[in-house]
Amino acid sequence: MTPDPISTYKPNEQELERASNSYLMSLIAVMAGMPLPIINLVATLIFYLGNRKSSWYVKWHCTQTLFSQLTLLIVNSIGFSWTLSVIFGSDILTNNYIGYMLTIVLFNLGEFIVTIYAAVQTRKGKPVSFWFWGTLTNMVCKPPIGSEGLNAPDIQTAYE
Amino acid sequence: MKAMLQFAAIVILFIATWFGFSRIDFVRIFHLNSINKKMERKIGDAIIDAIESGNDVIKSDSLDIIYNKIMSRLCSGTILNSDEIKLHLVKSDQINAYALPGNNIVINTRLIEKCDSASELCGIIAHETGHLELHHVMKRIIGETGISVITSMATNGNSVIAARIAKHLSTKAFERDQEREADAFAVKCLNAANIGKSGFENFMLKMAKTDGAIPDKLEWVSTHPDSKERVANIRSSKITSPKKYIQVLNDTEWAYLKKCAIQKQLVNSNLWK
Repeated sequence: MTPDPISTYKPNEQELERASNSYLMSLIAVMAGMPLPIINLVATLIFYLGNRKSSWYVKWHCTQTLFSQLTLLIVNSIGFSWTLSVIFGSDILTNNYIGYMLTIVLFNLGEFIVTIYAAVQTRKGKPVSFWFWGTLTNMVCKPPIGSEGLNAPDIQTAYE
Repeated sequence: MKAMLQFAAIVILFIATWFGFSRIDFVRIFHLNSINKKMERKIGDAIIDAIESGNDVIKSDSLDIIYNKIMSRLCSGTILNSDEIKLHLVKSDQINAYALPGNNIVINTRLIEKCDSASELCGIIAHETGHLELHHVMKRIIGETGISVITSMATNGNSVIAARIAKHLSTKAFERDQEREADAFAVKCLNAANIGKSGFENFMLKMAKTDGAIPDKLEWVSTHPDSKERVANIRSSKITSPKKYIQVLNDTEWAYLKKCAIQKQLVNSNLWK
């Protein structure tokens, strides 16, 4: 079985900090954007775009955060529009609606805890690959050829 | 492939959690409906008090009997509870009727004057009942005044806000879709009650003729626009017409109601006899 490329990469101190910050950025955005789910995504997207030219390691973590935020955006937006419809539109308060809202609260909470864990672990140099989002990130964010087992300066050389 | 499987697992987990939570009857456990109804009733009472303090409200035992007869008939073919809907006859020159929170419907005397039959009046009452049953009234108040104002009104019964809401609900139109929904509800209700939609259609047609040149007193037209289009919708309604039509009020009852509406002096005594 091929090891996860992110776990074999040896980042330098600056990369560790930036990668960890990508998770923290999404946490701050979650807190700021509670009622408006789009804010989380916008903040994460800005951070992602800001790190487009960073090393593969940082980009990988930014992409993973972006994907997880994108998923939350979809479920949160449905919840948000459903709430608006219950308050102002033709929908009424039902068990289905309350069930959906509790589910997204649970998923958001889960994502929040996992993100804190990922931020701490990444800072320590132990990258966390999320279930599904990690796999998805591996598919779109390919490591540079011959990067396995190399450390950060070597990667930099590989880029050049 | 791995990503697809993981994605499917997450989707299944999400749906299963949602399904699991939905099985819990939160609405019943936390009495959410009764909380809403209680709040609506309090707001409705405050608004009715505000209307009564600023207008002449016609009341008599005979009128109550007539109201009960109309509402029992309108609700007969539906799951609606006729006792929950209260009618109020207000002396006013404005041709208007409007629904208020707490299942209250206000009918202005001038509107009854303009009705040629009890089935026309029933059509309007059925339409306003539609606004109540489809939660249009509360949603509109929440949308336009905000939840905080509503909550404070439900707890303190602020009369100034109540008067403002009453004024607003009586003079501003609902959204076009909501009017269409209330019309459809009315037609369904009228047919199920063996009253038929023709009375409602007639009244709408009368109102349609005044569209474009709305006189000051025709408030029901200004708050219920697009009459022509709505008449066409009522006509083309696919809802099955009743096999037999039953009169809602007898001639004496209808004449009494008309008399109450037409007379200049306020009625408090029983004019039945």
